[in-house]
Amino acid sequence: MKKQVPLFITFLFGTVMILATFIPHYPFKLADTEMSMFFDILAAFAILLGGGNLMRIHVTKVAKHKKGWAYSLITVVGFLTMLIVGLFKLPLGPTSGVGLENSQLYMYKLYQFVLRPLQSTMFALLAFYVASASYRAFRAKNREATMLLLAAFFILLGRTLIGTAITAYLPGIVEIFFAIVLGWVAWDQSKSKNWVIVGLMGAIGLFLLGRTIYGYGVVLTGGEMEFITIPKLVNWIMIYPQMAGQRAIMIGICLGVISMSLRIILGVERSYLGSDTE
Amino acid sequence: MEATTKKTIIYIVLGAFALWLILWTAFGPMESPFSWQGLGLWVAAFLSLSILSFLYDDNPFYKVAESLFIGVSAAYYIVYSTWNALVNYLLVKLWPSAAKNLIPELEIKEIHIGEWLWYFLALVMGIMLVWRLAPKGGWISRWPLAVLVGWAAGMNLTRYLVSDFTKQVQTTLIPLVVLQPDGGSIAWYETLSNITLVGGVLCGLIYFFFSVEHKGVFGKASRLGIWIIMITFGAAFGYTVMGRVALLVGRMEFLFVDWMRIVAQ
Repeated sequence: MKKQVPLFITFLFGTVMILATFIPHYPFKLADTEMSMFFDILAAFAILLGGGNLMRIHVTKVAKHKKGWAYSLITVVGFLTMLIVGLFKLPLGPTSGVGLENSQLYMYKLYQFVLRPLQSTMFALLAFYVASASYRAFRAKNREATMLLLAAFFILLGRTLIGTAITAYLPGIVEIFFAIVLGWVAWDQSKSKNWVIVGLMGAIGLFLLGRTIYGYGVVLTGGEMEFITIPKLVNWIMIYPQMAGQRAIMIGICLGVISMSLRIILGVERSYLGSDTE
Repeated sequence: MEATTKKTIIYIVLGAFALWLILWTAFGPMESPFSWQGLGLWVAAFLSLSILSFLYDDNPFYKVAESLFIGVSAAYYIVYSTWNALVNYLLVKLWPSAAKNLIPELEIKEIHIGEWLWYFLALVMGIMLVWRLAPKGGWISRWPLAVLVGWAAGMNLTRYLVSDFTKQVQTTLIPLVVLQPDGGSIAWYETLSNITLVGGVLCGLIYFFFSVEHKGVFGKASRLGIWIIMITFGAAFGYTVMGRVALLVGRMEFLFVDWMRIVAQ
């Protein structure tokens, strides 16, 4: 009974939601709007449950004077302060509006001067850890790491002003860079006698180098030549190879979500119900 | 360096910084903490510096800021969801006059008994969910949890199927050979780009396909697939770095411009 009823409810709601996609008529038509409100209400109760649980843990810690109880006390005080000023919408003075975004509410001030600085500094702190992660990632230990390094490097250059500046002052730098990289790959592959790859990489590298030299010739004789710029290269990376990888990942995730959803609806996956001892 | 020497240096630096702040507030353009706005700025600056102090080491200032962050953010989301979902959606349907008292500008519509019962059921389910906090009968919360899980599973199944599968496959089915607008010769840039896209998606999918051993042609395609995926990860990584650095610049701007006013606003 403790598990059978929830399993039936899951099956019922899951099936109704699937059917609602295919049957755009009453009562299934209502499933989309009414169910989404129902879901929002339950989600609000779930957040209440989370808050309640947080308080239970920290109040117990304070009451029993466990290690670090003073920090738990700060959590409890911060929680209750925000809860009281928010739920009662305590105003700083006479106010006309009643929305939570009203700047004359204590809650707004708490958000502006406490929550927002804490939140954004916490995320900003990650910049330093990302920097150390970059150092580790940017050591091109193998080909895969090199691909990651190159993509990240060009994105960082191409999406900032420095990328535009580099290619404006050094036209043809992208072609020369890739010609060198491809030349290095061809030389590396020649040791393994992969002649097809050597030929292909060498040909593309020579083509890029030749095009750049030809371009310089054209520019020096007063003509115009369109070199590859870093922002253009980044746009191409984003639209083609990056998108290809993203699509492969999205399709993979989608197949995973579908199979997991079916497992849940059919009652094969039951871990969300917890253990039998509850 | 010895631990005591290290501590002494930190205390000296902190003391000098505090002294400079006092002088800068008294004689410089910095706002004093004795007004509501000034107090807010000082609190925000203190909390920002407390979080940044973690870069040195885990310390009581960071722990205070972290604990406060946990409590305040949890309550903030509770308040937000209470007003937005529980009052706006639930109370307004079940007890319109009470909702009108809380939010006078709310438009109250007549609802029929079926709708009322539907929202009453939502209330009952919500109470059952919170029942998990009670010492006994925690299993009762499984019913509303089953509603949430069932709804999300059914909804995601069809939604993902359309947006992340059908649409993605549709947009990948593009011509592999693109001709110039006059129809005469091949447009090499577009052709190679399209081949990269289609080939990249196929190779990426092959990399995720584990039912066949990755050997021979399949292995080579899988290898190409991981390269494509690495480019995607590299791009995502680049954007993450930029986002975090932008946030850091924002915080520095707050500290040096809004709070200390070293740089003119």
